[in-house]
Amino acid sequence: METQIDKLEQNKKSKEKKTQPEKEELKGTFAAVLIVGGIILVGWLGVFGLFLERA
Amino acid sequence: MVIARKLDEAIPHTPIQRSAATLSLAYVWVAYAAFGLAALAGMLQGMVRGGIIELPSWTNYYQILTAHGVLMALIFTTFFIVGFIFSGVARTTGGSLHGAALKFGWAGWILMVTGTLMAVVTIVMNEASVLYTFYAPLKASPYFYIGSALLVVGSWLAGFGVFASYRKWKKENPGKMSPLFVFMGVTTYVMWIIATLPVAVEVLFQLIPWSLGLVPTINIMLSRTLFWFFGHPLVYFWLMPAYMAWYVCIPRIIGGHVFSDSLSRLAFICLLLFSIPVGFHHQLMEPGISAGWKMIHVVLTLIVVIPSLMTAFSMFAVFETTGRKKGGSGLFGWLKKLPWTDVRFFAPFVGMLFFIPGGAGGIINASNQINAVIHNTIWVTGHFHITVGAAVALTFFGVSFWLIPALTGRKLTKIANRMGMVQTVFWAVGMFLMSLAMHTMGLQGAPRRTDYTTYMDHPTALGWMDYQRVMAFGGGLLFVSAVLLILILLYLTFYAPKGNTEYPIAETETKQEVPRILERWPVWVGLVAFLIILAYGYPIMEQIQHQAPGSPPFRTW
Amino acid sequence: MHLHRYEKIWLMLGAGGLALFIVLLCVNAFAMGMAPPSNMEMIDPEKVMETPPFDKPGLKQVGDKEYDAYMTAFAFGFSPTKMEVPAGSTINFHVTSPDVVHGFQIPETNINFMVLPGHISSATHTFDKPGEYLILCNEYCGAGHQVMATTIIVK
Repeated sequence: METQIDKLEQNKKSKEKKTQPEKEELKGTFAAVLIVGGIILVGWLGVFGLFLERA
Repeated sequence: MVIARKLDEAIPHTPIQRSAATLSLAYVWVAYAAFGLAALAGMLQGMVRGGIIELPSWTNYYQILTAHGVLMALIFTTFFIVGFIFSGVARTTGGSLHGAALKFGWAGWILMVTGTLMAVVTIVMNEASVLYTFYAPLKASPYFYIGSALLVVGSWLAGFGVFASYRKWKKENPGKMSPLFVFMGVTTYVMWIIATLPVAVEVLFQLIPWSLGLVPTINIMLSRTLFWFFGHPLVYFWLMPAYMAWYVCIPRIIGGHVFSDSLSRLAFICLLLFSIPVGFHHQLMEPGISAGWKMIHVVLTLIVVIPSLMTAFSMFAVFETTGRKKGGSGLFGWLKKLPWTDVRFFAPFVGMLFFIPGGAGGIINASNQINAVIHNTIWVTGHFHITVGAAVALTFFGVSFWLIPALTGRKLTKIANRMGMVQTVFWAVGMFLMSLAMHTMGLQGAPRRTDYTTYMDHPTALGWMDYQRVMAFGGGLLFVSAVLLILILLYLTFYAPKGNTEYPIAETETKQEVPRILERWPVWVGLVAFLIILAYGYPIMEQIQHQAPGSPPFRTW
Repeated sequence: MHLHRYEKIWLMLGAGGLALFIVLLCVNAFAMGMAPPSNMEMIDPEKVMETPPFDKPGLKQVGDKEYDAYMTAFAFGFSPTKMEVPAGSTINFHVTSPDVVHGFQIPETNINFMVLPGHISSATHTFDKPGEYLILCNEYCGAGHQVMATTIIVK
């Protein structure tokens, strides 16, 4: 007979199984958005620098 | 349900019923008619600024520029968006539109076409060479403003049609979350109707009476504030339907699923909330608005970046999960598994790529004092060409390749697909060269909205000449692409073999619970109202109570 | 609503970056005095030609190396046209329009503002490098918009 504790352990195990491949599955996405963020940062600092230089 | 007739491919849904398809096509074809004329105008502008041609005496640069701006940024976009949303609402609510929606849709079409024709006639007669922003106290023919008002009111009617469909679906499906496409379409129209109210006020209560001579002067500061109160969310009105194609259609096209139902809806709610109370970032270099209020709008503007950051993540996530399922491995190996030779994916994807520098540039433009580096330079023109002119336009083109045959009961043939790929490449290369030149020249101070000039051979201006030639070349490639596009779409409308083309709508992979609050409109509309009062209440009150002496009309062209 | 761990990190980084931009902009604008031109003074646009100091546009020396430039922007030119200052001079520009909206930009500097009839725009620049600086109108103002320019000579 499945007890509450058994059910809880089952849930935890399946959640762990899900988060490991889940993280693997989006590594490329994470890298890609970081590149996008980098482009935004570099562009912004560049024009800000131009602004300060022209002051 | 499979209909008993010869099908080349069994598509997993019924085609869109004739009445809805005709309505959608009517809007889409007006859009492309305007696009064609506007593309010609754009090419001429590039050639003039590149020093390649001189315009004949019966026209002038600013008349052509007005035509290009109005036809591309107001007519092509609005008509396509209305047509696309009607088609997707039909597709996702059983395959048709009911009586009320169709009536609103056609009433809207008639008003919008009438308004467009009025505006176009005044532009052709050189009575409205005021550019698509029609800044007072430049005064166009009253019929230009009346035409604009009809265009806007017509679009509201179209919106009411979508709301009617939404209400009907909700009644017939009690307790269920609306289909994602419908939800996004409704959100877009809610935003649009709120956003167009201020420009309607400007046109109806300021410009029309003043242009008819009923009032002697106009409050310029207020007219500009009302315009840009509208003008910023206008760009989100363009962007959100493109996002709809990215979130709902693209995953299906590549053989994948919607990444997250809730996050997609949340992104749209955030766009609704934060795309409107931000207009001062278009007025950063103007007197009459305090530095404090400008900064408040800048902060709100930077918040609206966040739903786009969410969208970027969702897009890559869809590509990666789908690519990995198809066997892609390694950090970026999934990229290779995407359907690169399918123009329905390729064109919007190129659009997405353009949005990376496009969005980055937008953040720079809105950054308060930094705006001084690029305000009113041709950098701004470069910016909006890669956002609306590439990210949004290429998405609309990519959608049209399957939408038009889906609506006309024809096939998207392999030849049309290949021509579409070629057309996309021409557009991308042309836009890349042109916008690169524009961004670079802009940093060097070259102005936008300006006819060919060397400012009496001033060395600074002569230094821009090479870039202007590159710009002209890019514009030429774009024109070739535009002609090709129109030919392909004509083919898909009238000549392609009859058959079935899928209207791609993606689902989530597993059932996802969506928080009900996302669809509680009173909450969100209430929040928008609150943010608008916060951002605009006091400044607009000041602009009315402490106004500068008004200006009489001027016709300086 | 389930947020993937990477998306949580991405959005926090994104929001953090935007917050950084806001802090930098606020410090630079309010503590370093580089806020965008936001003059609140007003004037009757139909009486510009008779309202001092715009009735006599020109350069006025107000300090050792400081000048006030009272200028009008009109379709299609600027007044005054011949301005000359020694290198290292600071010019405070005050500009208004008797007709339509114009722009006022000096390429390669941060001087770039709108000139609205009814309002007076103000901005300041220190011209360290000698040369002939172009002042151009960058807001469409009519048929002659592309010739609307003048220069400042910095010796």
